[in-house]
Amino acid sequence: MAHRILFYPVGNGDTSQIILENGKRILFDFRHIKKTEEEEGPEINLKNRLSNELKDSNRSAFDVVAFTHSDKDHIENSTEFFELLHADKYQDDNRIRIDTLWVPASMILETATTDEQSSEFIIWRQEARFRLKEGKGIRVFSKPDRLKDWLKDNGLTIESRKHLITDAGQIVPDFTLEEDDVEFFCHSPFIKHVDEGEELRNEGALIFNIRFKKGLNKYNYLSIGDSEYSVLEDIVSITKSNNNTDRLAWDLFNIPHHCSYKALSDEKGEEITIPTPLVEELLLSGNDGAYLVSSSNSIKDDEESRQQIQPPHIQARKCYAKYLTKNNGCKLLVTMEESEESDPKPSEFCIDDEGITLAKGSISVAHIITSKPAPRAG
Amino acid sequence: MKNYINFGSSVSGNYELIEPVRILYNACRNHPDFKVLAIRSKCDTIEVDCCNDQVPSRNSVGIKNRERLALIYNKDNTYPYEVRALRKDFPVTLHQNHVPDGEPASLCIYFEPWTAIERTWTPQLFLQRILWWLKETAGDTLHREDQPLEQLYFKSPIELVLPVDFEEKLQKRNQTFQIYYSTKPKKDLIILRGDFFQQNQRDKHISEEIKFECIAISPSPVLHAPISKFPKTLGELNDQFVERGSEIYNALKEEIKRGISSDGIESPSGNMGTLLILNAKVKRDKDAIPEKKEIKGFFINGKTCANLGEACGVLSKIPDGRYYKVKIIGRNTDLIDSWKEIIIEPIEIVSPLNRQSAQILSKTDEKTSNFKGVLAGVGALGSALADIWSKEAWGQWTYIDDDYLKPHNIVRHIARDKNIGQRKTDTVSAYTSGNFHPGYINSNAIFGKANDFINCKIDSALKSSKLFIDATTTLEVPRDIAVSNFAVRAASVFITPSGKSSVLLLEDKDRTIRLDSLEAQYYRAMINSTWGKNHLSGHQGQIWVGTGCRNASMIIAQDLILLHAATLARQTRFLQSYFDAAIRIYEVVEDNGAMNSYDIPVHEVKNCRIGNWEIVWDEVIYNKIALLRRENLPNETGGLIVGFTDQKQNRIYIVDILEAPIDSESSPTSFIRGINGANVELNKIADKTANVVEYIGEWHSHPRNSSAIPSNYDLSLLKYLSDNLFKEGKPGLIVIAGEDELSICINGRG
Repeated sequence: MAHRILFYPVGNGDTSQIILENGKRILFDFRHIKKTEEEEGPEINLKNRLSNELKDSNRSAFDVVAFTHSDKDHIENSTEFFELLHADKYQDDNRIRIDTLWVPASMILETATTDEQSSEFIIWRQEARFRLKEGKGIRVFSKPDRLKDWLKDNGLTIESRKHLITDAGQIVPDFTLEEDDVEFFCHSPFIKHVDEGEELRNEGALIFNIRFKKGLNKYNYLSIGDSEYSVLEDIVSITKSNNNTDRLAWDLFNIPHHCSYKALSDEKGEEITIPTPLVEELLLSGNDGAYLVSSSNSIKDDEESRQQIQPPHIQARKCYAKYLTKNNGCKLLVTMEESEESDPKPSEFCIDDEGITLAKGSISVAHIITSKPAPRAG
Repeated sequence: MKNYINFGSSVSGNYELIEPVRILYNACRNHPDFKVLAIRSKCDTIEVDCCNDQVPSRNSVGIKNRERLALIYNKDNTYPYEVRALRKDFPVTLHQNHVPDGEPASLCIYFEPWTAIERTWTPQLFLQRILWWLKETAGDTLHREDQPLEQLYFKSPIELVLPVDFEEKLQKRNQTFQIYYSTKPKKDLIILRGDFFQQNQRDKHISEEIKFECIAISPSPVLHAPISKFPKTLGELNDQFVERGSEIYNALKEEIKRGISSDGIESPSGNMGTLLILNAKVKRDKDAIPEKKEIKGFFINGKTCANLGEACGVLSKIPDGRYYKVKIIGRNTDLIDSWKEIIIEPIEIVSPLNRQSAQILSKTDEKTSNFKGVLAGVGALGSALADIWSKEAWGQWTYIDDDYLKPHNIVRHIARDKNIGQRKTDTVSAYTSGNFHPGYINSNAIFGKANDFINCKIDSALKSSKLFIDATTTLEVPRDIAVSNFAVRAASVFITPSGKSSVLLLEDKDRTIRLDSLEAQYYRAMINSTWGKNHLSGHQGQIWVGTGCRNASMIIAQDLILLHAATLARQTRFLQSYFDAAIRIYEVVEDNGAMNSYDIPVHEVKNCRIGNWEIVWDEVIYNKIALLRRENLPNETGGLIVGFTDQKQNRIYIVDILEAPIDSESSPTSFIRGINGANVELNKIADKTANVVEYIGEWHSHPRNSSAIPSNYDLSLLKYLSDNLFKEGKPGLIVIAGEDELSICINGRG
């Protein structure tokens, strides 16, 4: 028996899932591509896959669905998949229930233009607001002044909703190491991220130190998603000043923002990105045998890649690889390099009594050849 | 490089690689898990980092998922490609070659000789093999329990198999751990077994050739820490334990003292050395409860217990040559520390076979395999099933049988000649227990008939069981179990008289369909199928092979018994994990050894009580009658009913109904059953079913919109049948099909 962590290929955004040994499931983000319903790929049909996984394990709900922030690639088509409690039209037997919804405060406070009223981020805003008003099935991360104002406007007090709110630096009460062999320490968002601006979704995104217990060991997973170096710098300095340095350690590190250099520094660098000193500290906090996971397309080391504006950035990859070697870490996995591009598969880590391994079946070359039509022979 | 051994000087500038090195170099460059760091020595060594995501990141063996390796080519070596692990603290594991002190560990990548390997060797497969070695070694699975040891690959030629209750008895400390062997030890491979004996028994079990002594100790629990390298001396071993909050020195002294009486001990001449067994427990932190145990063994070459005792300062040698417990004040300080320098070598500790490991090796699920069961009948088939399930550790069985072993039984039984005259239950119990360490398994054996429910032992065995397997090859046991509401879910297994087929009848978990009804449905399938034609051929008027088993003239080869036993053992195990009832027939195809399997659909059972009689049938009977009625409307129709009667249980089982003979007369208000072909058909059925299924009554239909209530004509028919069947002591039976209903009348009451 083991805890499992699944990273879905980048076609499914930053979707990842934790399946605890006790069967509980925590889903981070959701991006489903419509065309996969017509069996057009190569992306995974996420709806089918998750539904089947739940069915196979005799479950009809996720214990937690956490939206790290409300960018489209983190919530796409999710309102067609999950049961939403705030309106009847989002409810039927085929929809998947969410026992507890985790959202950053910014998702409650989203504002929208008239054109955006039917956008999914607004639907989730409605759902989060509904659950918060109901006082159950939700956890909100951070309580900026604007959240306090919103509560007041809706006839509620912070005090009455305190048990549903977790601030940076606190451990989420829903899971414990004793009961579930896991705990979630919230690194972000900070209050200032939410209060400072409306356009700063990435800065207000969820970041956790997820600590697993298995056998005699504890393992730390730094779950970051989309973020930038300044947020990571804040995390390092605040965590240190609060004497929580152990929360910076990692055995598994989800490389932010599809391996963008912006999570390391504001300078991409010619050959390799040089991380800012505080980010470097974070990178050096990796444990012996640790893994880095980049949810991104494959990253080539050529001139075209060096000039590429959109992530993934080869310079950033080199930087991460450098620090991984320094830490005597194991591997940097790029999700789209782990399986064939035409048939992407999730990368799955297992944590058992002996440590972390990557779950993969060994496939013979013969199997790969005979699984596809052979090229034409003359 | 401070953590790594610098193995050969680095080659810089331009260099040219010879072909065997170049192909390996290219393979490393193209492999995602290998990163080339340098070329060393005389361009024959490739230094790489091997990043292996299949190695658990904190495995207790101490292999890392990033290991620095030197891949060396030397055409003159036994294996021209060698793998060295450069990490200074690379753990000592099995499957390593001997290397001079200070050199990097040399991994034994292959089991087979190079002459076999080279036929398929490619550099890419070599790299895969390295990854595999690291993964398997990290998981401690490279050396599997069922795999014989290749002497070449082990540092120590000594293997020690521990008893199953090692830990428990070690804690009790009222017995002494001693070693013995089954085969005389050879120099290059010594397989020893260890067990606990009373002090005064110890010499009985020690052969002259055994020149080892053994000390087993349980140090206080150690703190969890990264893996230590195997220590080279007793002092290093103690230091490692001290670092982890424990120690072994005092525990060792205590154990040596404990084994010595006031008469002292001798230091046996010709002693090859002492085995030191450490039963260590690991805890998370100082105040935690130990969570894990590790048993480690060391061989102390050339030292007796007495020598060790002297070195540790608890024994002293006096001029008569014996060693006595003494407390010496003011010992020479050189002597005080001399124990620290004693050289120790790791030995292979082999876990004994227990139920859990048997289940893992057999792939039987531990969660569902520890139930209590009753196996009734341990003859040819039953004894084979008992042995198979015992080896698989599937179920904890009570064996019931009332028979003794006779010479002819040996041909088809797990028993041996020496067992002739014993109770079958005792022999089977002894053999199945003998699959494990003495005293570990205590099978329950009851000498008696399994349907003797008055026998309190049988009653208690049934009440405490989850599964009853009938291998009695009788009719009565499964039928009595079927009607007993105290019994548990039951299965009946038997081999047909020819030995070519076997049968498995299994009740559903809720026991809504029981063995007696399954028996009836099995007969119907036999009557109506092609496989049933010769299914029971050679029956000599009896269906079950078991009755023939007691007959010395029965002819079935043991291979057929084992073939069916294996199939039935596995299928019973598989099918009982499901809720549903099952009827399965297995048929050997003699020409090619194939096994045909027939899965007979099982139907819902109906029953009703009329007077003293219980009538049992199933939905197929109802559907078949209803269909024939519809097809013949507006006329009535009817025919014979076949089945069997159990006079002891007062039960009538309807197996099948036959269509109207062609000379029958029917109208919308009447039916007269003809005779054409009726007897031929009944004879065929009797022959197919070993005379079990026979004529038991008549059925007919009523016209459209009519009830199934018997008419006066029908009651006359019933009387006619009753009068005639009564001559054989059997009841008369009629079944009437009306519009959407069925009525059953017996002996004039219905």
